[in-house]
Amino acid sequence: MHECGGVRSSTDLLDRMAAARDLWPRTTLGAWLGESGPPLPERVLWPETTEQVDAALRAASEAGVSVTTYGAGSGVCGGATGQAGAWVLDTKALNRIGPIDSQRWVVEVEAGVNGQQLEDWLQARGFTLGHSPSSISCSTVGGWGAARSAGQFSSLYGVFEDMVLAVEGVAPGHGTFRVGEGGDAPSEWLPLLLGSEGTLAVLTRFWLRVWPVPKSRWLRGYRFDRLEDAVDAMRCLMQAELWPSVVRLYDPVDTRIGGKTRPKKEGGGAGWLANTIRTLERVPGLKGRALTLPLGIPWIVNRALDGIASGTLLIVGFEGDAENLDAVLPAARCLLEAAGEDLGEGPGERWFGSRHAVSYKLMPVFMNGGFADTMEIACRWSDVLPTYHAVRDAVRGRAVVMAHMSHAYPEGASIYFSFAGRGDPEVYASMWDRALAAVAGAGGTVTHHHGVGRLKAAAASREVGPAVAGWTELKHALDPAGILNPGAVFVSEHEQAASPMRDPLPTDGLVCRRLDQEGEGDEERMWPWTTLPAPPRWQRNPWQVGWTEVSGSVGGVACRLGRGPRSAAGPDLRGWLASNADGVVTVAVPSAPRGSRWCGEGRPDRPWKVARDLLRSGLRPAILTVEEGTLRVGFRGPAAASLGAVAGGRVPGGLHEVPWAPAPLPHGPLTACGIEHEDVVMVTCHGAWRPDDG
Amino acid sequence: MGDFDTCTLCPRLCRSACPVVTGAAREAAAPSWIATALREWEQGRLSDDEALAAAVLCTDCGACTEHCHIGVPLPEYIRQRRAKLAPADLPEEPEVPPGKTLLIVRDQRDWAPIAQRLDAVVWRIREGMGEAAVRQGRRYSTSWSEQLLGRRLVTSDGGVGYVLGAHGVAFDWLHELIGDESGVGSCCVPGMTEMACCGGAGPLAKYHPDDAARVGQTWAERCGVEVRDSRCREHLRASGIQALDLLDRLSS
Repeated sequence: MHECGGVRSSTDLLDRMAAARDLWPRTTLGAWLGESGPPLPERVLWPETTEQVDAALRAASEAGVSVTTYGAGSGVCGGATGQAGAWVLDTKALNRIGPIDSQRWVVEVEAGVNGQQLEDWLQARGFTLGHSPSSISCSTVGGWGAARSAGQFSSLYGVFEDMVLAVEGVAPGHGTFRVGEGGDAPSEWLPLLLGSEGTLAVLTRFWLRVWPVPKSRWLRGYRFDRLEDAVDAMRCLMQAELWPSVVRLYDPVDTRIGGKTRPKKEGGGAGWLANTIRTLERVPGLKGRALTLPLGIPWIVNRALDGIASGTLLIVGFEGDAENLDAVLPAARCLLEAAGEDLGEGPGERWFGSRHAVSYKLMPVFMNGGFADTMEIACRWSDVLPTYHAVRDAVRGRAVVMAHMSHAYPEGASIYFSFAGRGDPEVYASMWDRALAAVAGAGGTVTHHHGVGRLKAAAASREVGPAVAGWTELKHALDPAGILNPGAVFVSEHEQAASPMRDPLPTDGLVCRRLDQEGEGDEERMWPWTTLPAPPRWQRNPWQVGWTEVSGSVGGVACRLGRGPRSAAGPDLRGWLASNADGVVTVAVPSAPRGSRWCGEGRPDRPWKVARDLLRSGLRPAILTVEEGTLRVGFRGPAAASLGAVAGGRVPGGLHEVPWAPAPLPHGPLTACGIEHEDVVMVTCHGAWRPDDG
Repeated sequence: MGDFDTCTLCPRLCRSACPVVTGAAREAAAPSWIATALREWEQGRLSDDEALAAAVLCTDCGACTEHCHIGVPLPEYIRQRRAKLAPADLPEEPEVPPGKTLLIVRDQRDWAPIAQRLDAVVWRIREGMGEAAVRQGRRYSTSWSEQLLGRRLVTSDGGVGYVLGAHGVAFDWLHELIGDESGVGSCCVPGMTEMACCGGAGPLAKYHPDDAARVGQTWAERCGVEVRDSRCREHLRASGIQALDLLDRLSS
């Protein structure tokens, strides 16, 4: 061990080897094939404070070496696979949690903290982050920010960038900064830093929203004969403003071979794949090659699996206050049981019990001459089935494929594909080329929550097109020498002309309009900010989405960012595009669901505090305003009246029903204030906001 | 139990359970990484010295196996390979009177080379070299080999402790074996009954309190626990484990 710039470091071969790779299946395949392995860094450093990160970056800049930031190394896109001779900043010594502000529901946590350790620490204090990726035990908070992670309960708690109130980081060309709430750096930096995978700065500390541990949880499985009906049920559920926590759909192949509708055998044991492989390995000559034959004929295997598959499984969950659940569940069950068969609690409980069983079951595939990989994308609701079929058709000649959909939003969903193919690097590369092209052609974004890394850098660059200039601009400011993780996220400026923004279909839950023609109090919009962009994420509730898609031209080249629920791959450049595009900018924003509505008013003392308490009780009103002392609360969807009754019971003096009367949301700039401040114009679960006079 | 080979390249669930990784933040100490390194050695891509440097990072606590979804017995695998890798030369050991000796090494950063040397003593003897040494006229005894437990624990003050429940091991000889070049702090109480530190106030308990209690329980079951650190004593008592106060013993 040595000290480098005052930072503990090592040049031991073992440390360098361990930090040279993440879990990108391409390098896993290479290891099993006996390839030489990823390039070794020169040195691994363990900074223990933000100041030490700064010192390490200065030392690296002076030495002229590139720097790769390394958390838990569980990324699957090669984002932490660095360059030969680089320095690796291992963040695991940045491992402090706390303090927690139990009044504001905010926790401070360093980047190297393990996800499960953070969640255990929070739960011991009655809180949860609500972020539960399947990799929670083998990922770090910094990694979540680097890749724009999403957890299994994202439908309720949001994705990771929805949880971030502020970030502290260090950039070689700037030094230490804080961005977000209470920050000294421009707020426009935050959406670019999250998802930048260590290419713009080293993120060292986060301030995150937390939530009380839910008192009640409801999980259930539903079987649908047709995939189309299941997807439609997901969409209706998400667009009904019922706010489920879990919506997971398994395609017919995954439903069939995953056995998720059936109870597991007593005593556990290896899955069917491992057992099948063990059986095959007893055949003379097949040890280590049991899967070579079936993976060598994937089109036949895919056809066979399609033949035996029937029906799809949809797992739905709600959690929170029991009274809230009682208000929404009847409407939810009505939607689900319109075409779905209720399978009871079993499938949901089984999933919940094994939800963190990361892909260890895929290792036998590598051992036996194959590869296994996954691809997660996002798209509008109307593009879900076309994208699903396009990808399957594109890769079925290269790999066995199945899929599930596990992150659903009012404006779209993510599809998570699993592939298994013959352990040939050319087959692997060809499969990925075809899969990514199919996604782009069908209108999806090439990544939802795994990040871009090196695997998808070219595809992400094509998708972002000339808007990459926003990332390049910040890169020049923060990392002028280009030492931070070169080769990751964006590889070059691809001035590929983007297809124009297609008008959404009625099922998409979106409405498109020109940014220069924003109206006031637009009732068609789900969240009617007077102008866009909406206030920064940390000044909104996580479920309040400003826009999903932005299109415009940069340097005369058309560009479109956002494909439904997430922005394009990598950092979120939508705000930059809206501000820097030449000519007309068109945006797609979530549209207000049609159907039942309920609105009520009351005049409680301290109305903004009452409003915040309603949010903190788990309610998500579509209208929550205070005007001249009158609190107005409104709900939309099939549970609107039930939720209104629940809200009325929580407002001192109650709420009396009034005609539906939405009001524009304050668009900022806003500044944080105390809940009792006389100028409060908006509240979230985590703060109160007044107009920023400065 | 699962097939070992499946553990080398999985998403490394075991890392968060490993007290060495938690205490030292070293990726190279992750159980699956150690196993990967040993696999590389078996395939000729790492030298014996490099593989041994990886193998000695395992404390044999078994937390990784408990967390592994398919129960891969990593400590067993690592121990088997480590036995093959131990260097042949052992230093001369002087005769000492009967008694038990404890050594705690407190340097979580540079203990690996020290542990490597100590480990060589432990594992060579456990693999039966003691018998050969007896035949060669050295003063090793099989009873000593049985009692050389060779467990390493995360200590209460955040270091990685190497605890020897060794019968009749001379402190001076051990200290000479360790060396002072790394600035290692150590303590040794020759002639006293065995002591152990459960790590009850260190990183082990901070993130894995159940593991810290379990390690303390293991020591208590094996040989009785006399705990030197007051924080550890409190932790073990809170966990329902009878812990004897060494300082009380010394003063009584």
